[in-house]
Amino acid sequence: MMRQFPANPDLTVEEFELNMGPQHPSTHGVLRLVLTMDGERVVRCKPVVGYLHRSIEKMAENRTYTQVIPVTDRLDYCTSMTSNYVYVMAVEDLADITAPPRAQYIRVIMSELNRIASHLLWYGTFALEVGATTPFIYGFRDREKVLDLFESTCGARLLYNYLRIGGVSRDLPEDFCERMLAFLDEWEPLIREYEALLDENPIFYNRTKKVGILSPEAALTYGVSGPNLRASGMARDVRREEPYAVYPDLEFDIPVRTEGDVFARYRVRMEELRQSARILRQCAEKLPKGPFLEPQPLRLVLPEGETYVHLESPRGDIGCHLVSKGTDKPYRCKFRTPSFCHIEVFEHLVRDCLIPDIMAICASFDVVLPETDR
Amino acid sequence: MSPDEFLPTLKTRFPEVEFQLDPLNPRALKMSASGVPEVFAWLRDAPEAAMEFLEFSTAVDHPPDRLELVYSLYSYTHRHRLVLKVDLPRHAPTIPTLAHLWQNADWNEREIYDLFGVFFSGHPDLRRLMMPEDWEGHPLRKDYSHPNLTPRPD
Amino acid sequence: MEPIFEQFVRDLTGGFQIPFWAPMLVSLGLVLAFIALNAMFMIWLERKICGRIQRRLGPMLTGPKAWARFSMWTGGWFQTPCDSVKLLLKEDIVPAQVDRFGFMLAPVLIFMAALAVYVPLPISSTAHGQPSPIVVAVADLDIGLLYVVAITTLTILAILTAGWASNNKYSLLGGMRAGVQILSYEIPMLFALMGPMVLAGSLSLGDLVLVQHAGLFGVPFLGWFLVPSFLGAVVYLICAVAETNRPPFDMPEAEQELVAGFSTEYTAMRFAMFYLAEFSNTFVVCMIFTAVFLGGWTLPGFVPPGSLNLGFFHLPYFDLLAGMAIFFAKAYAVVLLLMWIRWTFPRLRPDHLMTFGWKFLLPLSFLNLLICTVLAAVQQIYFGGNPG
Repeated sequence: MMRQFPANPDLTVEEFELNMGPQHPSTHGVLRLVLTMDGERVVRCKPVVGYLHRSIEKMAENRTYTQVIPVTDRLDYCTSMTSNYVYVMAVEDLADITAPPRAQYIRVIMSELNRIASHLLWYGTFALEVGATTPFIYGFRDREKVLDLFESTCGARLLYNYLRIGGVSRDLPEDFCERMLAFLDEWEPLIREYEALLDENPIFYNRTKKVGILSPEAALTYGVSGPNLRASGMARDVRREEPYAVYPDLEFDIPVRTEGDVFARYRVRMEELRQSARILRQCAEKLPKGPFLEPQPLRLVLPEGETYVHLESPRGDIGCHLVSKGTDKPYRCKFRTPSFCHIEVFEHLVRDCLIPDIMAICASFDVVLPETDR
Repeated sequence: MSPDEFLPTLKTRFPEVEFQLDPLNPRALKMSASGVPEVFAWLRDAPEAAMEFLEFSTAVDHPPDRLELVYSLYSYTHRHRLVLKVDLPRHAPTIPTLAHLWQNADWNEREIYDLFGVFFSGHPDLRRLMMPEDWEGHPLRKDYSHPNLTPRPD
Repeated sequence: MEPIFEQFVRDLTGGFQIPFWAPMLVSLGLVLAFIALNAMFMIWLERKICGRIQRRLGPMLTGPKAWARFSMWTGGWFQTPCDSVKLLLKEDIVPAQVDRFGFMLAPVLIFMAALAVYVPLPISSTAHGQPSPIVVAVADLDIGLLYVVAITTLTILAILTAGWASNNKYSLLGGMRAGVQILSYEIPMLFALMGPMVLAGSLSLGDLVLVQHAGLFGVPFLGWFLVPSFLGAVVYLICAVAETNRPPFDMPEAEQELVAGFSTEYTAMRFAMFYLAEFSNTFVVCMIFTAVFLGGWTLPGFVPPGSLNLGFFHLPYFDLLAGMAIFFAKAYAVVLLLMWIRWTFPRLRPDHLMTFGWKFLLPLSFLNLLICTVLAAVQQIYFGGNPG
């Protein structure tokens, strides 16, 4: 679109298209943003997804119920535990299986550890997007220690395939709780260090305050959930709204900010790190003895029916809609993923922003592309 | 409110739309396609329903003749959920869009259009979302075939 | 350079008259070698400092293994030479859609500017504390400070050319950002430097150092212009970092936003030129800061002897060498400060940068000029003449 430059009619201003991604240093994974720019200002933004579409939902229809679990790992590689969990929860709901209490606690421990790992990864990459390099290394350094805990439990550091229908695949190692508590003791004071790197810096403050403000109404209509919704002033958390597993027995707070800007989303996640640590300490104390798995037949056949379950993943409200036709394979397995909704918001939020704001906003939403594309 | 509590209210409000409980899913209501935008608009705006959150919408393919749309609504105000299911003819599925009610219906419907071939009338930008623009067929339909797609050996 | 060089050759050969072009060629060679070696060392140091700040070791593998075992500061010494060789050997790609002339010109232009700016920088002097010391510089120009500011502005041209000729939207945005940024920060920078100019009553960098050594109000410790022109020093340092496109002012090549900004399409040696020029400019900034605000090669109340006689060993030109050591120690202290800033700060946003430059730094530099003028007037009236 050409328009005339107000001060000098001989000059015309032309908007141009900037294709950001799918290969770009800061569109985590392969997000593509088609931007219409007026100089540095964004006029329109169209997110394009689908570059990572692996048809996980189609694959699930071809596998037995147990065989789907490793596929769900790939749904969101930053929090494989929660993607495992939501699928297993759906199958258990439909088959009317209850995991033993110890398994329930182990699942919560794993979810919360995974939340820590995911938020640390987010902290690093988010800081990197606003141009601070050092927090990236800090976040990754401590995430390694969480991954060490996972490795000692299930042998994998990224794609765990740990949860099973009716429990978990193996028990925790004997000294797991001691090592986890040692890690928490060592790591919790470091949250202060993360905050010191960013919070007290006026540049960071200017970059994030009042940038990308998402109102609660817009957040709801776009289906935003999780920390991003809580940063917009809505105290909504599946762990509180529809408690699952052993969350009703645990004490924790839901951090909420009302500003809805990038800074609020950052603060909410930093507080969630503390709350996760709090939950983990309680779990270590309450962890019951007993079986960790209620063994299921290899070819589990589910009764006809359908269900929808959801839980709180580090990114938000992840759900699984499972339809069974009374066979050993899911008839339809739909995953409702938080990032799918969060990417759509960019269209609305980055209008009239500058290029650096796009980066700050995109990073603050913590989108993970494999989860979007499935 | 649970679906059986919703049922009488909806039946009196929308006499021309058929509603019935779903035997397979205790949280779901089946309804006819004729009421699509109005019932949803009421569910979103009525204070007793207040479904401000469209969790997801998707489709389930039931060959040979039925294609079922699933909408899952959630109310943060009342903390209740309602799953609405609409049957469409499989050979030419068309239904009015919900994109003007919930923003995230936009992409959900694009995805359904892409993977199931449901046409949403009135949708602002109905293009394929996941598959390339020149892709042929709708992969999540049960009879979809592709040379690279082989059944998994038992 | 010339007088020193002539004296050196005379001393060595016993009265040989050198041709007029020889000093120029020798200085060119020296400066080129210095830029290359110093940039290599700075890159190594940058990576080590970065590693230290981020609790890792930095490069450790290229270099003598035995040293690496000793400490992180002794490992990886050959990393940057290896990197340079790699860059030299890489394929030189000129993309098909670029404007070939501009694309090839830009790296040369930016390196030219980086090279030319070394001319008036004084690094030491002989005959310290005597009425007419000989300043060691390629040429101690009478308008040295003005020359330096003018030449660094050439960088804009190079970066704009690179951005435009690359025919890439990211490059163009990067080039435009750089143009705006350098142009805006040029002004507060010049005004910040005017404080010391007024205090010294000279534009020659050599004179500036000598005046600082003499001291203000007759007190040598007050002499470093860092003290009377503190605001100016702060403003200059900020502007100078912004001009060299170093983080946190690296918007023109912000990786997360513009891929690599104006150097997106450049590879191999052409990219190395930009990289080299950036590090060279960073060091030049530190050298100017040392000369203008930190008293250059002098220390208050310290006059090194012309030669050092240790009895068993006679060291001629000792004052010259001591001055150089002091000068580089100060310059590297400033380099360390810049590296510390780089690895802890997030990046600014271009519009905040403009606001900061025009609405904050520029008034501050005016205030500094006012303070310096008052101080210079007091000096003139009560102590006679310029501080020198």
